[in-house]
Amino acid sequence: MLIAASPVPLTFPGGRDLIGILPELVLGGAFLLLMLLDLVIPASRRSWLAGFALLGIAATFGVTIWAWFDANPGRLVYSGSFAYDRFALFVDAILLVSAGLVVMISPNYLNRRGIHYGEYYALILAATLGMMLLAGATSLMVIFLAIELLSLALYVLSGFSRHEERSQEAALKYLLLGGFASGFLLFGMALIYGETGHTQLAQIAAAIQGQTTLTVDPLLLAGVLLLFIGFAFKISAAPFHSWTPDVYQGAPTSVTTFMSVTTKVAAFAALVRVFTYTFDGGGTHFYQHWEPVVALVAITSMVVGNIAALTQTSVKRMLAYSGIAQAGYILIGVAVGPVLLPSGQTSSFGTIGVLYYLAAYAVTNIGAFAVITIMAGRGEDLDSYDGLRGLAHRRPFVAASMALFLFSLGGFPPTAGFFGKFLVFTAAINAGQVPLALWGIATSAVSAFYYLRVGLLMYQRPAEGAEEYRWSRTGFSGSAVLVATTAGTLILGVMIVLVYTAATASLKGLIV
Amino acid sequence: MLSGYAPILFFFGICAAFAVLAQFLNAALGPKRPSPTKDLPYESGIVPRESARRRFSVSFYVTAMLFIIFDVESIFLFPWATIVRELKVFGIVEMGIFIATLLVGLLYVWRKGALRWD
Amino acid sequence: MNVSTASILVLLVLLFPLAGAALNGLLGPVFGRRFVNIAGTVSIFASFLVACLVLATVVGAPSGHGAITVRLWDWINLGGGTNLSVGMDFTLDALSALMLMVITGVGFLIHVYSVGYMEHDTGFARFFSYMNFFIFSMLTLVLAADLVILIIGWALVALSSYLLIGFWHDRPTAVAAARKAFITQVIGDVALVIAAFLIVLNTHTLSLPNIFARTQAFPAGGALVTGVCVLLAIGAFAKSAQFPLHTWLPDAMEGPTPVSALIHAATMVTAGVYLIARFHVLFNLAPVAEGMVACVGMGTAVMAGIIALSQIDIKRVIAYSTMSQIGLMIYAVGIGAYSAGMFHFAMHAVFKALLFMAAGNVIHALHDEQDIRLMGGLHARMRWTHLAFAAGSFALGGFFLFSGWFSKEDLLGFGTLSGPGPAPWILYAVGVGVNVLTGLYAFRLYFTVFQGEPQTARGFGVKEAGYPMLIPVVILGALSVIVAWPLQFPLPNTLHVFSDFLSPVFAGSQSPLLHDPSFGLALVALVIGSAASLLGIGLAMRLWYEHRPDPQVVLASLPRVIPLLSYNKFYFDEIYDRALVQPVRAVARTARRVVEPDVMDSWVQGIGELLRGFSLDLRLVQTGLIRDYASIFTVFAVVLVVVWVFIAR
Repeated sequence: MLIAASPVPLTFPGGRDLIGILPELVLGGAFLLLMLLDLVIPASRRSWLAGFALLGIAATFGVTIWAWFDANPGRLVYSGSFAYDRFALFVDAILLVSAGLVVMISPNYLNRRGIHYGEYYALILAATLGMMLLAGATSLMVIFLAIELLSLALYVLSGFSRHEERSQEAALKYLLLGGFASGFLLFGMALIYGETGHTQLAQIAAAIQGQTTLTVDPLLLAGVLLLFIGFAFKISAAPFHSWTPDVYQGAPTSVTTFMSVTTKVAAFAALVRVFTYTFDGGGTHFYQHWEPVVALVAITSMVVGNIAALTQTSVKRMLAYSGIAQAGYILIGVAVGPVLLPSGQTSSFGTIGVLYYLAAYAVTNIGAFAVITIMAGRGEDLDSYDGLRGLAHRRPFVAASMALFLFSLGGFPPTAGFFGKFLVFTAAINAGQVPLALWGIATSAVSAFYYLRVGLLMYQRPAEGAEEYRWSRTGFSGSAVLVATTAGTLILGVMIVLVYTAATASLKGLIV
Repeated sequence: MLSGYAPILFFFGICAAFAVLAQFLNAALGPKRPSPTKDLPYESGIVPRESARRRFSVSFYVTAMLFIIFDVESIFLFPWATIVRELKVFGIVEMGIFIATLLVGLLYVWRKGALRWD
Repeated sequence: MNVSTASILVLLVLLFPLAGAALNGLLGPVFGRRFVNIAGTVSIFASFLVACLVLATVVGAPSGHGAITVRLWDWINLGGGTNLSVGMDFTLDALSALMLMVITGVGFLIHVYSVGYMEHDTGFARFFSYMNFFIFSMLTLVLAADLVILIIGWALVALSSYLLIGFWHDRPTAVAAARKAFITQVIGDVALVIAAFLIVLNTHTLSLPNIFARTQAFPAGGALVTGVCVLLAIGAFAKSAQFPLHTWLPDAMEGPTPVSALIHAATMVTAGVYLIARFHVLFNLAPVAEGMVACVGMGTAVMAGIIALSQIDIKRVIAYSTMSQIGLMIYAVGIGAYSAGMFHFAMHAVFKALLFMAAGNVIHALHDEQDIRLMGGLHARMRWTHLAFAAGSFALGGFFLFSGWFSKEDLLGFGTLSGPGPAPWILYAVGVGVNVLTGLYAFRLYFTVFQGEPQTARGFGVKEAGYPMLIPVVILGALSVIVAWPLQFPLPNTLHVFSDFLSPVFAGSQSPLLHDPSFGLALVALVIGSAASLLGIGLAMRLWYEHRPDPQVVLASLPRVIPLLSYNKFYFDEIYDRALVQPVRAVARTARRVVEPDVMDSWVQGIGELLRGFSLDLRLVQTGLIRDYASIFTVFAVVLVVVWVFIAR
């Protein structure tokens, strides 16, 4: 399973290393350029910045595609602290598409809310950069730095609505609790370093495999668990989720759209690389020592997220809890990731499920939040359930695509979400973790309640005499995003081979 | 395995005990003869004219933070300087990019007016 | 036909109705009636044109090469030892081409008719959306070359039928009828799914062509294949309203009349016939199942024919006649006369859709009157409708040279098979009796509605229907006279275009029950069958036109049990009500009275309340205070690490 177990000699970085981080370099350059452009472009032309940001993202995406073909086989760069492999590039692609879609819906929204500042786009790019680094990081240090880079950008973005208390509160909560969680993450890293003497994942893996004693070093295990808790905060898995509803609701909706998807994608990529592929322990079956904890957190997330979502009355908050539940489902894939088949081979079925689920979740959730973003009124977010009532009668297309997203989140066929769940549940059953799959199925049934409730609301007539919500026009960019996400949700549902094959290929190229 | 950490635990214990002890000892042993003059805030011998809890211009904080950021970044120059000969051109270019990045930041705060005092 | 052409044809024929459904459903309310009328009909017409292309390519293909299975894309292909592969597989062959032609062709005319029919209904957009969606589902079903796709189509058809029967959802009877239909469908679905499981377990593939190629997995005549075929047949019976799953069809007449014409006469109810024809390879291995299917079909044909004689609701009469005719088709595919069964299906689709739509015109003209005792004398006032209805009745009654005659005599001609024992001969004799019955009830209806004198004042003032409702009726009326002429003649070694066209599909499969009848035998059968039809029609004329003797007198002379059974539909609804519905209700009532307050409250309702309670409790934890969040985080993190690392492990 593990490639490159021998320590990489410390050398001076060269051209090959630069190529290895080419997508990140391009995005970083775009980020700096955007900062400068913000200084020269007049305030009335801020929408141009969105265009430039989109250009930067598109260029990076192009480079990523090129790199997909170049990184075969992949390699470690910068003395083994960063992986240039298809796994990272696959995740990069999801991240870039998500960021692009968010940038597209942002200008109209920010203008309506009166918070259209140029830094917005630079910060989105910076956060994306951090996430891309996280996806490829193969050193504890790079992981930490990447998480800090993306977190700092997101802290600022959550408080972007400077004159709104809710947004300020969200930013402060996210900052304080995020710093708190970083402490756990760092403590975990310190313990791992202390016990193995390495920060590069490959050497840590070698050190774990080298442990021949039957008893596992408790401090190492404590470090691994603390590291997991740090990640669990980022993916908002229960019981480390308490920040999520408040921050998702308080942050400007376009920011919520962005971070609800991309943070999860990047953090899960790192989880897979670190846990499924580094801490699996090869022949020592080290994974048996942390797997039950991951499974426990997965179950807690599914239960807490779905049950708490039942009584929400704000769509943003409901989607926040739904995101917690979804994190639980994806964690199933991590928990059953390194499965030793009776034949002696390792099955990567769960990990493919994780990747597929992430792609499905990205398009679906961006779509669902995009509806709230696009339709937000002047000066405030219209995200109460009452506001959605009767949407189908005035915006049939928007309502239909929202219904599709809700179906997908609920895991109904033939949508993207169904196959995400299908794959992770199948993986769990294959791995003999039937209870885990049963928990997932049971909680999915609960989730149908609140998803369908919102769906039905849209198709009810507005209550007599109720104040009509003034939904904003969808606009060209909004329509484009809705069309793209709708198509994505459907394509991932009826043509699963497309992404499935890519996910399989990316997993084959994964190196540690 | 864990026994290797025993000295550290011991050390922690002594530290904690000393800190707690010092608090109590201070209160117990120190002479206390308070007077109004002693309770005044110390301002280099000048008699304070108003409450110390007055508002400061936010520019203090901004400037201080900016100073610290750029100050800290410059620390990177020191390790770099020790091996710049071995890094050759590559090192020069790398550091150029690093400084340029800082420069963008500086340009940004400058243009945004963060350095203006009024 | 190469694969890429076939793929494009399949995609197009499916996409048009689907696009129509989406456009009408989403944009219909916005753009209004004109848009819906155009989008609704044009989408089906476009699909019809593509179906014509499919037919042309299948006909044009050299013999035996007309069938092609295309995989549009892999839906699921997990590999990695799971062996799970579901392809978007569709088959184009003579059988599916025939189904395409009938579904889209008749379907298009019915859509045109609906433009007039729904003129004053505010739900027009919803209606056309559902109708287009039904066409899409039905096409999916008949094109499917993968068990999963087949089942999806099968279920979508039931779903759209449910939606359309309950279209007027403010009528409690319509909702009840929709529910009844759906529950019956689900029984069939379950049987079909179990059959599919058994098939997959034994053949390890979901693809229909592969299944049919791996028949060695099923020992001929064995319990396994018999079980599979019986389950498939149960699925078919539910969909085709055959005994004992037939009671939903008459109630389904609560839906709008175009729905009755499209779904409950021409297309959906014949899906069972299609299913058996499609799985004929398996059925040929299970003679017992085949015999069961034939008997059930013929039994339903007789039973429904008798019931049709005494019903007084015009649509229910036609519904029972549909049930009876489908019984004949099921009988045909049961004895292995597949192309004869499909031929009757095609002819029946034409004249039965016609009868329904003409009946719709009558109902419309009489302001929603459906009781035939209050009709009469419409022939002079609704001339075109009358002509078309008469043509349809002659076709249904099997009058010489009308389309129904060709198909029914063809079908019964195979009944003279020389199978084992006397059973086939008994079935054939019953079939001849059905011919008499058909003539009787078809012309009872015709004479009562169109001849004689109007029975109410309203009957004098009726007007002919408008063009959208008239033109499809007239076209179908003309078709039900002539359509069979170039296709098939019910004697061996004569004109056999239709069965030659279908023969590649059924080639190489010989039902153990069936032998080709000799010319002489077939001729005798033809004469007997035609005479039986004429007898029925003549009797009907005596009774309900000339009233010599008066039907009431005849009725009185019969033993009382026959009219009672007929009028009360053999008491099936009552029996089911007593035997199934009431006991279940009783159990439910008892449960509610006795069990629920103590047990159920804490289970069914309790679970919901419990979850809600949990949910509200969770909201209490969400205080919004950072210190609380940080405390929760720390406590859980520390507990997790300490307990797991130092205690539990």
